[in-house]
Amino acid sequence: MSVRAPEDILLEVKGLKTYFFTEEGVVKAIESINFVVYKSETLGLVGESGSGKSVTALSILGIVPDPPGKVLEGEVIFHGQDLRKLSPAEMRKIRGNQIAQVFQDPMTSLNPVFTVGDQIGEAIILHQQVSRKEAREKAIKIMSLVGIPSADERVDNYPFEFSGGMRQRVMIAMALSCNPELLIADEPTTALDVTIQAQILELLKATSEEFDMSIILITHDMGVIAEMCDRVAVMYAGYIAEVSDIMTIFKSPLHPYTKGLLGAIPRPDAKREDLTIIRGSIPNLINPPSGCRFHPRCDYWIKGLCEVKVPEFIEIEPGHELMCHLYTEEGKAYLEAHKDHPRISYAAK
Amino acid sequence: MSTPSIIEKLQAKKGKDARIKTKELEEDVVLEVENLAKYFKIPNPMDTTWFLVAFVASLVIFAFFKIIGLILIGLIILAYFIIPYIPPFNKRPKFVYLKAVDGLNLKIRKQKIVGLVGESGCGKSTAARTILRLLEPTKGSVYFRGIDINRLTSDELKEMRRYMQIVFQDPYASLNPRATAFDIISEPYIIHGVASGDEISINVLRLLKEVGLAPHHAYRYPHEFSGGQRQRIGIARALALEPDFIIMDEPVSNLDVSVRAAIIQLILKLQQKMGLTYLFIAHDLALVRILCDEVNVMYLGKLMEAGTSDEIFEDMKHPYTKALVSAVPIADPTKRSKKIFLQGDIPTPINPPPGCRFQTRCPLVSDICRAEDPKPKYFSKTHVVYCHNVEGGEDSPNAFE
Repeated sequence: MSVRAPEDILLEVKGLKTYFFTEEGVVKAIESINFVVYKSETLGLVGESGSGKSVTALSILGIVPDPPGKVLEGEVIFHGQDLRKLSPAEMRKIRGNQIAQVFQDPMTSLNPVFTVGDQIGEAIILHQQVSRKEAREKAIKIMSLVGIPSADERVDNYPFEFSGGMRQRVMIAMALSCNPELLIADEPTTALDVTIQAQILELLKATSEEFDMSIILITHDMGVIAEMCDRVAVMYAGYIAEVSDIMTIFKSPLHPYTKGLLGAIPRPDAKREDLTIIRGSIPNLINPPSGCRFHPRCDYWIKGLCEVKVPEFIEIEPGHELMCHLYTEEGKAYLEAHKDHPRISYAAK
Repeated sequence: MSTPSIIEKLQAKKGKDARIKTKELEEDVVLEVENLAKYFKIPNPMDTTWFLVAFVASLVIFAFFKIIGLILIGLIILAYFIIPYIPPFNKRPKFVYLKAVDGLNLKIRKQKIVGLVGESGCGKSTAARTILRLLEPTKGSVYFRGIDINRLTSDELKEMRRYMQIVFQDPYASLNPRATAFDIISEPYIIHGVASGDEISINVLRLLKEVGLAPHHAYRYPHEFSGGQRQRIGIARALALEPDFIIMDEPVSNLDVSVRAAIIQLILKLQQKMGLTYLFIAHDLALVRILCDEVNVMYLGKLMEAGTSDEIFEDMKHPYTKALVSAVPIADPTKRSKKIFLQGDIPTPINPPPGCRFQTRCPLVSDICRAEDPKPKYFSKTHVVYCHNVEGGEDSPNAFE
């Protein structure tokens, strides 16, 4: 896939940093995040639990729970303006209107004491100057669009009267109600069964085409990424490890973590023995490893460099960026200077 | 061995004791499940809305006309107790049945990994617990090494459990938070009285090493471990009595991807080393495909299709299996496949309609599906399909011998 022109950029996140100040200590949830979302593309944000995927979504939307969380640095540029500099009132005009969100658990994100029609209509009334009646009409229309059968009756139902898959459709209807340009979908199918997941993913795909909408799809499932996305950002412990188009990530990943992650999932034609392990476990972000946060689990740990210095986020070829000392000038120079001590693989205990 | 094992003891009783039911299993079959069912009895509450309305109304009347009100209240209370016995209301069942598992047949062969897959609510976990008789089955038999464990007394069952163990899904809920790893792993030895004192310590340390934990982990509490490590403790506990057969009830679905692979590798390593047989319950079909030798697909308490991994994933016959397999996202962007979308959601297993359980969502549904349970159709010795609309097939697996 070719690299797209800078004017095609819809959202740009630069040097985002979010910490949570808890009683146990400062959780360094996001250290430095850089990525762009192009117009009408689906960007996958993949990583394990605690990698900072959801916090990234919350930070973009400006809804990090404060306290304890705080976005400390960075810019979130949407249509040329930095969302972080906007007032809460201005942000409210954008959130739910131009940028919409779908969360993982549709039961806790819907209000149990209002009908779904009311909840979908609320966003419409808020962002478009329409009457209650028109909002209801629009809610019915959008509900049938997302595949809720007999929407004109279901509009007066309460969330508990819907099944999990249908609730997620309601959430998507709510997000789509104002024709957003960007949809942030945070694990939209994790709570659903595979057959329902397939329905919801298909719905997201179809609506993104119909509305010419960009999606940031947050998930931990590489399968969902492979099915849905144009580009992928792999996150690890508060950093983006590697960003590239989907084919490059799956066919020729460069970052050791991406390689490990792909080795650890069952690929269609793999054998039992092909499953590889990433040693160790996800670091505690109150006290993360120094330097590259992946170095204690990495097979290619360059002793004396990786644990000392955070690698730069570099572009290795157009559209393919990553953060690893194996590919930085500094890392290469260091390896050259220490030729006599060949790259020392971390010896497993 | 000096003392005969429970299995030998029970085999000896065969024929003499009417209670002991045995079945000659094929040589390599460790466990055979025959027509197993587990129904949950749920009270069918009466609709009391009208009684309440009438009762409140008569209270209001009582406030103004004491005697009429009292008579009304009396009548309503009387009606409340009498009406359930008057036709046609007496036909209403007092209980309804949630048929979580309804007629399950499985054959688990020695040193194989047998998968049991299905969506949530299809009865996988209930099946697992019923097979081990952690839940009392409603009907059916489970033959372990030829002995029906559903007819054993609790003492006999306890001894049998040495040979059959389970690893639970949630490593947070299945370990006692107030016991150390040592306590947890040593408990089977104490309960079954097979080791004592230093012997236990030696065994626990050996098991910890076996599952990839260090000796100093023995005196830690569950909250000090990560999810993957807890699951290792769960596995160590299941291995303590050197069982032949272990049920893995979604052992990795609560774990992160990179940790998941490590646990799978451990499970495989232990199987090779100790010659274990697994029943592997999962909803992750991509994992089941590469892990399991045989796969059983369940839907709403019933088996839909069973066969070897290749038969299920390459040559599936049942419309549900086809839809399920096609719905699984494949981690390869060059293979974005055409999906088969099922309409609607899984219906409730309370009082399911007669006929095929899949009838409400099946794209091929016809009249016979709504009337009759599908009979098994065999496409090879191992491949069985329960569907009216699948053409061909034999009535018995013996046709392939």
